Amino acid sequence: MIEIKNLRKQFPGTDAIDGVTLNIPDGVVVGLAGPNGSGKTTLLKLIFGFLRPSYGKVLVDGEKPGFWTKSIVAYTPEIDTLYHWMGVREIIDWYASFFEDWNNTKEKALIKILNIEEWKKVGELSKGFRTRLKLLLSLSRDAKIFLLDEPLMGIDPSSREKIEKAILGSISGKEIVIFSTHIVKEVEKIFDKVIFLKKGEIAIYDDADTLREKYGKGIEEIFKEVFND
Amino acid sequence: MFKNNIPIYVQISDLIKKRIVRNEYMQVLPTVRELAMELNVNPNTVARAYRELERQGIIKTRVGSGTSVNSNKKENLKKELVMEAVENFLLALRELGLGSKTIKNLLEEVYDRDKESEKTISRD
Repeated sequence: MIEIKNLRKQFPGTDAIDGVTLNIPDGVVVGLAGPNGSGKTTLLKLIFGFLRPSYGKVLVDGEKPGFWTKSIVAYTPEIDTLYHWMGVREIIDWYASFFEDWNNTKEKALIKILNIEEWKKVGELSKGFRTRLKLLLSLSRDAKIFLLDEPLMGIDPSSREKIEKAILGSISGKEIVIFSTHIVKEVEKIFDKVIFLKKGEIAIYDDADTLREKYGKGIEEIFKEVFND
Repeated sequence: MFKNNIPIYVQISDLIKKRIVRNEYMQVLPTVRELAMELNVNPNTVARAYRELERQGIIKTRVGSGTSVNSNKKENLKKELVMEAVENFLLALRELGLGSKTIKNLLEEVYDRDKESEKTISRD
């Protein structure tokens, strides 16, 4: 469970996160949606513990983000963090040796679903395939919480289904997955809940199907409505 | 395959109802996880659809033996779905200003035409 209370994160000149309060129960896939600059990445970094709150608090399974929570949280950053000179297989083995909760069965399944070319160098992969590799490096763990920052970046629409399958196939149903995205279209059906973040504040946080019922529209259309003014 | 503007769990329970009526699930339904992977949706959403169908008495879940079709309800379910389709069909035609007589004639026309084309196909 993730508990966030009155969370603020100030950077010189801006409040990247401006008073966020929310609880995320175990076993849900959450879509964290918002335009660029709405604070999605900052929020994920605060949950992971890369950043410290200016005010308020974040608790992951009752603990402040730190050394212990990092052992149960898998974080996939949006930026390209992989060494280009490394081989794909080499990097997978390196991560596998690093994390105690690495699951070889999941790794093999993900290599297949995501068509990972193990014999290549990271630098030879296209942007979309580097995103896929990053996803594999997170999802192969038996983590309790997965923070995926823009896992659709560079993924063409026809491959989105693979990413969805990879995520849904890697979780047992008890984990929390937070999936940040500025594209809601076509992925919205994998979300249990959605958070709409607007200028560092929560515009909407609700069950996806409840929102569909309430608005009689898809999440994509509600998203447009919320962010159009 | 899913519409975005209708709750996904509602669409999944409608789909399961159709499959039950078409005898695609003889007795036992797939597990929540299996169906979620097939439809590429969140397992929680499938679980919600199952709960809804159970509430309506269409399926039964027993610990250990999985989820099964309530065969007592099957005939009724079929009738219900057929009537619903008919009503929707009639409503659409009435909205176009057609009366019962015209609709009947129209149906007979379509029926004859289909029979005719069946003959042509069997001749080939």
